Amino acid sequence: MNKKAQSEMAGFGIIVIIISIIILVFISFSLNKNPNSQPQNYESEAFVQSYLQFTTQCEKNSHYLSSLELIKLCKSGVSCDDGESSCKVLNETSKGILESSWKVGEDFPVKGYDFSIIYQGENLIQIFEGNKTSENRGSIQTFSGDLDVSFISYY
Amino acid sequence: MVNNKKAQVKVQQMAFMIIGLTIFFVLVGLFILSFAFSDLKQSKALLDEQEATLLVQKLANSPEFSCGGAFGTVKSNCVDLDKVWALKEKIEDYSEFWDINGIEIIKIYPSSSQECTNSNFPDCAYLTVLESKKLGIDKSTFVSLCRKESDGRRVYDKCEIGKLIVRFSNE
Repeated sequence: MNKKAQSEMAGFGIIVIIISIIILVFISFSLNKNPNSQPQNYESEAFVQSYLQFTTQCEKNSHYLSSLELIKLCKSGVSCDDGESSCKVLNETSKGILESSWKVGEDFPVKGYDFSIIYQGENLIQIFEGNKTSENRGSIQTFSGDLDVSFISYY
Repeated sequence: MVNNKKAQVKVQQMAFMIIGLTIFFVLVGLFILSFAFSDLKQSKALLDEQEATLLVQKLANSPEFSCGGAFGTVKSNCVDLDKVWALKEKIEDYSEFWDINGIEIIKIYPSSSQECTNSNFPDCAYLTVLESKKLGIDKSTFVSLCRKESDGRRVYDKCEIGKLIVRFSNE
């Protein structure tokens, strides 16, 4: 009688332990699942696309260059028609666009950003503003001709 | 007599055990369901937001807004400002076409300050394409605002940076 009761208790204990383990596994799985597992890169992607299409003040052969064309001109070291350095125009235009498009600081949702242009292995532009935080969104977009444009925003 | 009482105790023991286990499993089931439903709510909110964002991008690339081949190669996220200005005049015909509350375009760089009117277009800051009459949720995307510009010598393509803001109903 005593032995039977003991084995019943042991059986019940085993059931309780198994269910507890299942619950623990379930809880740990639920907590580890990050709701923002798919970062919203669309904003960064749209920004980079718009940036590359922007018409700059640099004129070459009676044609106002887009940012994409200006990057290539800067890499080749050729100046604009008015004699101004293409890299200087690229740098100033990029800074102006970034400052107008992304307001950073403690009072804004975006705490900082990191923008870079690497063309054929050479880092042509590197602009960083604000602070880096653990939550970031953005991506590196690769274009034809070995052009990498990276924009990462920190929240 | 003694055996009968023993059997009764056994039946009682089993009944308590079954009740206890049932309550235990019901509680576990409720716990799991509450977790599952909270996750569903989060997923719904996330999906709604993604849908709204996709709709803004879809709108930016729709024939009524997109540059198409008017500025050289076909560009994504490119809004033809001249086309939009013409659309603004006929917006009554489109007011129920997209099932949205409002559409606004703002120029970000180079920055300006005035609302676009017939007298100052295109040297203006923001253009209300479809005026919002209700409250709602705003979603936006970066776009290039392209148009044909003249510098006195020739006509050329000019693209600036802006945002397309769409207001959705929050009902």
